[in-house]
Amino acid sequence: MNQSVAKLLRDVMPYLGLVLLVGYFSFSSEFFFNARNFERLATDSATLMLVAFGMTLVILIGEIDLSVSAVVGLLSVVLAQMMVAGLAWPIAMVLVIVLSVAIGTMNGVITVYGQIPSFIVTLGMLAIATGLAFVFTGSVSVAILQYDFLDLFYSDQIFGLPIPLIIVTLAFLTCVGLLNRTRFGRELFAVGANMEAARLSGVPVKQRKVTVFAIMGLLVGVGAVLSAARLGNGAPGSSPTLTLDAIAAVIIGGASLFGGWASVVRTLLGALLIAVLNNGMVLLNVNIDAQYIVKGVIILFAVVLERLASGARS
Amino acid sequence: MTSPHRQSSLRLVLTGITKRFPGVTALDDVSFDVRAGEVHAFMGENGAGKSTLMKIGAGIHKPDAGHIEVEGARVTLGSPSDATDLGIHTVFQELTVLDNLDVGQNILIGQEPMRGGVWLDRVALYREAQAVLDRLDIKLDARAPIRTLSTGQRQMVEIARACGETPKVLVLDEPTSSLGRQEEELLFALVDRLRADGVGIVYITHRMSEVFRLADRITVLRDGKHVVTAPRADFTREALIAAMVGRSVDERPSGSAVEDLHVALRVEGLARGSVVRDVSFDLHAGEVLGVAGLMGAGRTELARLMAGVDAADSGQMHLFGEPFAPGNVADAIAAGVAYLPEDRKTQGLILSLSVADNIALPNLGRLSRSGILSMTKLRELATIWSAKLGIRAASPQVAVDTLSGGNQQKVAIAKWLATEPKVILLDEPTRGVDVGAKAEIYALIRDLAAQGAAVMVISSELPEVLQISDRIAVMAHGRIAGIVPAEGATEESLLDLAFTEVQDGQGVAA
Repeated sequence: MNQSVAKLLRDVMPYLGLVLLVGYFSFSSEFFFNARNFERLATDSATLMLVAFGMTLVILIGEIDLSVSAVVGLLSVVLAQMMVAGLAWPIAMVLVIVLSVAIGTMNGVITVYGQIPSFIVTLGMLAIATGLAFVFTGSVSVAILQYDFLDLFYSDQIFGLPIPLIIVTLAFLTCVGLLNRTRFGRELFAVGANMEAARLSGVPVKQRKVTVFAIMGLLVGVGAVLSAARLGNGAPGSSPTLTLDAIAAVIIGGASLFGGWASVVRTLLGALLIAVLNNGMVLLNVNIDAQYIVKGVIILFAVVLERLASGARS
Repeated sequence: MTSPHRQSSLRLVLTGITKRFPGVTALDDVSFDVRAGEVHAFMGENGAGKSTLMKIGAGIHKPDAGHIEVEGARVTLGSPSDATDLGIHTVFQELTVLDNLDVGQNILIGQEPMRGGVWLDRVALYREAQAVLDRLDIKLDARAPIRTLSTGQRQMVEIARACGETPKVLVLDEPTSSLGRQEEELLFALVDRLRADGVGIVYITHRMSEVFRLADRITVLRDGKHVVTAPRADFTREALIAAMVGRSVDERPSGSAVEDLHVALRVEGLARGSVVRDVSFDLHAGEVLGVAGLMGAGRTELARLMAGVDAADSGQMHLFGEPFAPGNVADAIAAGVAYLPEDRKTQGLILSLSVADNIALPNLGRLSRSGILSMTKLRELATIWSAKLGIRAASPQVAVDTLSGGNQQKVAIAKWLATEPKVILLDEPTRGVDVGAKAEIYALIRDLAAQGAAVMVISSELPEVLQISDRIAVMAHGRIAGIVPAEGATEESLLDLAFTEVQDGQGVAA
């Protein structure tokens, strides 16, 4: 494929894909195109959105985090267990988010100071988190019975908007501002494109990378809280496709898998596309295994397109 | 301008080559030929079309018009393997030796001797590879791993790979750009030997001294057009420069003798491992201190210690009388010390980012308040410094990798000047830039010193060091072998110092 054609395709794909999917699902399911479904879509995809924003920063600096599905599972279990043990939900929630930041920071520290590729480090973290979640629950889900908590993050609204949607919006605006209008953000582009040149320009590369993993931890923590509230329980395998979906969102958004270029705005489009796909496939009763295959194909397509579009520039 | 009686020895002839890229005509009706047993030097400023023509000869680009003949037969070069099949080998500036393999495996890559069609015949491989090395009189062991070799030795391996079977035409693209003096001599000897074997050699370079040392004929390109082809004897240095830039350039700004110098940076007993050993000297405000020495003498390593890139094992520095011990580059920037690294592509610049982003990078602290950037200030800074250094780019928003080498180097320098340093350490500031840009960079260096900055310039080109410096420090084996005034110094006297064998524990102080 011609490079300029690939570039054009890569740039329009999130928009085009979204329009096509919305069109297709509206046509093929009577339950798709209505306000109630869209509200559900927004609430359902809140965790994916937050994690995808974090994944954008991680991929921008040339790293990856494969542990998010497992960590969200672990955090939801810990949250539910703490509530079962009688801890007030605000305290349990804060503790879980702190734990998540600690896990993210640990991923970062081991990657950066151990000089180990992050896909290995986070793969290890995935195994640990998965194991711990099962240890804490004995493989059954733990119900959350503190209704204030469930209501707040599920049914309550501010200005007529569901609270998860408001959280996602705030996180989105913060990430966009962070990347484009702060010293920290501009330095991340430099770190991702050429670590050595960044270091020689006075950028504290290691510190920046660890900070990105910590931010990822924060977003994953908040995402886990929203996910637990939506499901009403803590369970080890509560969001099996989260890692795949988040990486897919970033790649559909046209980020370079080698670091140095990514955009939160375009990730939002990618995540919306995945969210619509998830929602629509459920409405159409597409088998869960088939859903995996469809997403896998989309990811590979997006990656190949990105490669063709960036041509010989690597 | 080929002499008719030698037509038969023509190896490669390009006639009327035109090549257009979107928006530019890179080559406009250019003709070029190379004969058996000659070195044909190919010169021109960056952007003149040298690399495009070279890539057409290597089968990487296809010409839009014109034709190519190899030994009198019309050919089409559709791919790099078409070119090598016809005996045209190109050694690019960016080396392609694989450093996870050894010398022999690199030389015979893709044509390894096999046993039974499946198993690599290691004995034959090293025997054949060693035969190639011996034939070219390259003193390397075919079993040596590439990662143990110097850049110069890697280049030799690269050339040996092209000469597995004696090529008809060998194209060398700026082969000395990363070599030290000794390694250069080895390369020149190799070129002489290949010429004697009847190879037609196309030699692309920026360096005058090499052209006058090696070339039989010289072709100059400018703005994609053929300017002149003539025997070397027909050129003087000045005439050649004039042909390349299309105007006469004052290549030698006069050194401004600054008096009343006070010490900007005092270095005492600085050491790191075996690469920098007990180095002491003073760098004065308002002077240009040239640093000469062979490859591996510790010049770059010294500058990195001074700029906070690496940590010193021992020793101390004082900046304007205050203790100066940078823990990282940011500390050095904050203290007013800037370091331009030697390789702009991998160290000096972030090629995928814009001119503005590159210039802003070491200045982001100054451009932001509690972490929030002022985009207005950022754009201003980029515009001001692009203009000051005469950076030719469509806008400060274009990616740096779209610029020519000279303009890229100006961006790399601009980002450091924008930090308003009091001490600036320039490592090979004119490597791989054309004559015009070189003259501009020299003038800039003199200006900086005239405005009171302390400037240290590391350079592997002795004429350059002699020309721009007030004083010259020569390093050998990690030590300063001597510091001499530039006035009265000669290439010979500097080389003499560079080859000094310094005894342990006897560092020569300034």
